[in-house]
Amino acid sequence: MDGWSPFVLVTLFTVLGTLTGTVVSLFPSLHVYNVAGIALLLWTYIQNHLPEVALAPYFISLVVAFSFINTIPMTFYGAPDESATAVILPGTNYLMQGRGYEAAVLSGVGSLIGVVMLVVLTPFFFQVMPAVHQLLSPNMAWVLLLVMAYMLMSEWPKGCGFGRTPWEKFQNSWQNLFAGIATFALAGFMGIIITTRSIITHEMGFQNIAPVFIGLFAIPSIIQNLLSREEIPEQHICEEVALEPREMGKAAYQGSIAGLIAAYLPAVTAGIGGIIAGHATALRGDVLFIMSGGVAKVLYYVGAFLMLFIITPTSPNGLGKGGLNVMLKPIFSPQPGEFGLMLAVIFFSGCLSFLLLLFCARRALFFLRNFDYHSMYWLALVVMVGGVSAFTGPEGLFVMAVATCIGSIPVFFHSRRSNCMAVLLVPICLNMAGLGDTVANWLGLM
Amino acid sequence: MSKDGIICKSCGRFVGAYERCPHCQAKIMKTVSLRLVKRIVMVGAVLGLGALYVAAKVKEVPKMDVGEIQMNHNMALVDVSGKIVALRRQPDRNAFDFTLSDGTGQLKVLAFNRLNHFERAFGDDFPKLGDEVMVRGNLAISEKFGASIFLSNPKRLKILQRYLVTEEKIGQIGRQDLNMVYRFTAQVQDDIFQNDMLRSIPMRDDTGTLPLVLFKTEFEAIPTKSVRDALVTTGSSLRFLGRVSEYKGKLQLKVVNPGKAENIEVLDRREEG
Repeated sequence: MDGWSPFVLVTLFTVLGTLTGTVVSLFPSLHVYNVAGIALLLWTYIQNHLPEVALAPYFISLVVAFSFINTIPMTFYGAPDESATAVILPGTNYLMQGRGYEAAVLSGVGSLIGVVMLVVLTPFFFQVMPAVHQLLSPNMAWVLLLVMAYMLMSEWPKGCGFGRTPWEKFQNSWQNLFAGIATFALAGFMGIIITTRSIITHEMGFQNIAPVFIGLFAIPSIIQNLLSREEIPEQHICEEVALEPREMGKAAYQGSIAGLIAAYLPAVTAGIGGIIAGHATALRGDVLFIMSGGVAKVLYYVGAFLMLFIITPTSPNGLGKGGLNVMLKPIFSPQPGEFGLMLAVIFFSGCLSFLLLLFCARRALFFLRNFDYHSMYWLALVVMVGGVSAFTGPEGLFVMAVATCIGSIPVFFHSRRSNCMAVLLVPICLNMAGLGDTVANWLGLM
Repeated sequence: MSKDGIICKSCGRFVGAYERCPHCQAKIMKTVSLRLVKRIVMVGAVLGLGALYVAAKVKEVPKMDVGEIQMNHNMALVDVSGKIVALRRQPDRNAFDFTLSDGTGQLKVLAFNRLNHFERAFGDDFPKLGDEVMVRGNLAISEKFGASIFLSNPKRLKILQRYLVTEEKIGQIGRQDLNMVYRFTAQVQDDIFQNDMLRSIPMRDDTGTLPLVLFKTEFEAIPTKSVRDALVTTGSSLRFLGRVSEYKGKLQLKVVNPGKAENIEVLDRREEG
């Protein structure tokens, strides 16, 4: 590859990253950051044989493909990751009506809109974001505190107050709210322990948060789906999708707010951003819901990494955050002027991913018709547990088991799974407020 | 697929995961008791978290050499011991940083917005150049800045051994002494090299000669005029606190903090000419 031009190398690795992202995204409950961690480990062994210019395009196109393709397991196999919790409800509705393919296409259109929004928002990124960052970063602890308060206060009782005794009625009405608060508190406490004094082996320090997230989000989803005995009705592959420009505009509006909030604020995911944006814009509709979810996913996953390349005098190290930034930091630092290249890679990968989404969605329907989807979840469970065991050992398995118990609370008590993000929100907020050490000291973890 | 547990047998309507039908309030018997699962989950979460907390408290933090640090150790909590070979305090930013060297490599340790906190905790025992210390923290590895540890709590910095500055002979200095600080007594020799930026002053004692390099700002920072004059006068005898450094593979000496009068003093000044 020594004599190859940068254009050919970038194109080749963009395609490779897109294809890799497509394959791994079809796997239910597997998150792209877990895959990226493994890919990074492999990359360090072969990096001397690979061109340096290939690194960023490969990983960014991996994430682009994920933000498109993971709609398929989320819609068809009912395995939402945390960012899709707000999306899956209408999507599941569509699936049960035999319109799952249409839901996947709508989400893909939303993701394409998200890619376009990244281009449209470029002047905003360079002119406004650095100033916003300068204003907000000293006060980030307060912003995160506000987000956490909103998350807890905006949850509503889902019970109907049924029961024979007043206690049963009270329990039925309010159990999901208390479960939400309990999830938040337990996840927050776990986050303080993990970030202050992790028990994961130091040899895999860069993956010491992976067992936590797999336990909080992936395993409970798998368990939920394994316990489900719901039959998926026959699905129709539509030739057209009826969309109005007005609806697409509304989706871009709502999804952009959700995605930008999630891309900029630390530990805030697209699910939380979606809750805030949904309440802020007060827009309704299943189509809007699904499409804006697609927009939010791209702006969150891809935008968070793209912001690393917003290098200005007021932001000399970029504005990027998120799991991929943290993982790539040891081997990659952005250079001024690379933003345009990354945008081009995202655009190319996005278009490719949309086409692959249509292709893979049809294949997924074939799979659903001929196989029991539970088998996929059993396989996913074995792979997850095996992966955690192989990389982080028995300590990682123990952490994963504890996180699974915490992550299962919202599943079985019908509260928000976003509350599990307290595992990062609480310690980050405490550290930014300068109280992280004080709390860790009280707990005797120093 | 069986509809047991998800369809109410009383009214025939879909109830999903509910254990009591929201339509007719009939109790729904589940094949897998959801009530049991909920209890397991709650108890498991609380007890498991308690066990995790205890495990975290008793876990021994591994010790690492700087030379062992690889990319996969990013964010790992480790103990690193070594000698402070460079130290900088920035009171205007309430920050300080130092470089730790353990013979296998060097590690940067940074503390932002914490200088006051550490000065209050350590007082006069604040770490100094040459001290042997142990630092505990999460490794932050980046391509741009290499490996570093961010310190936020004085409890995570322990002074193992205070550095006692000793007298040393110039002729005894070798590569193994790089970044070490000693007290030297030597005489200014001929062939002082000087340009707009620096002075290179050959210093000799009874064992050997090494250049003492002072940048223009460092030279002007020396508070005592007699010392500045002596440094440019052949034959003047000085006693100074010097750090062993190198430039293009050749050893040289640097005065430690030339702005402090006690770090460089004249023993015997020869008149010029």
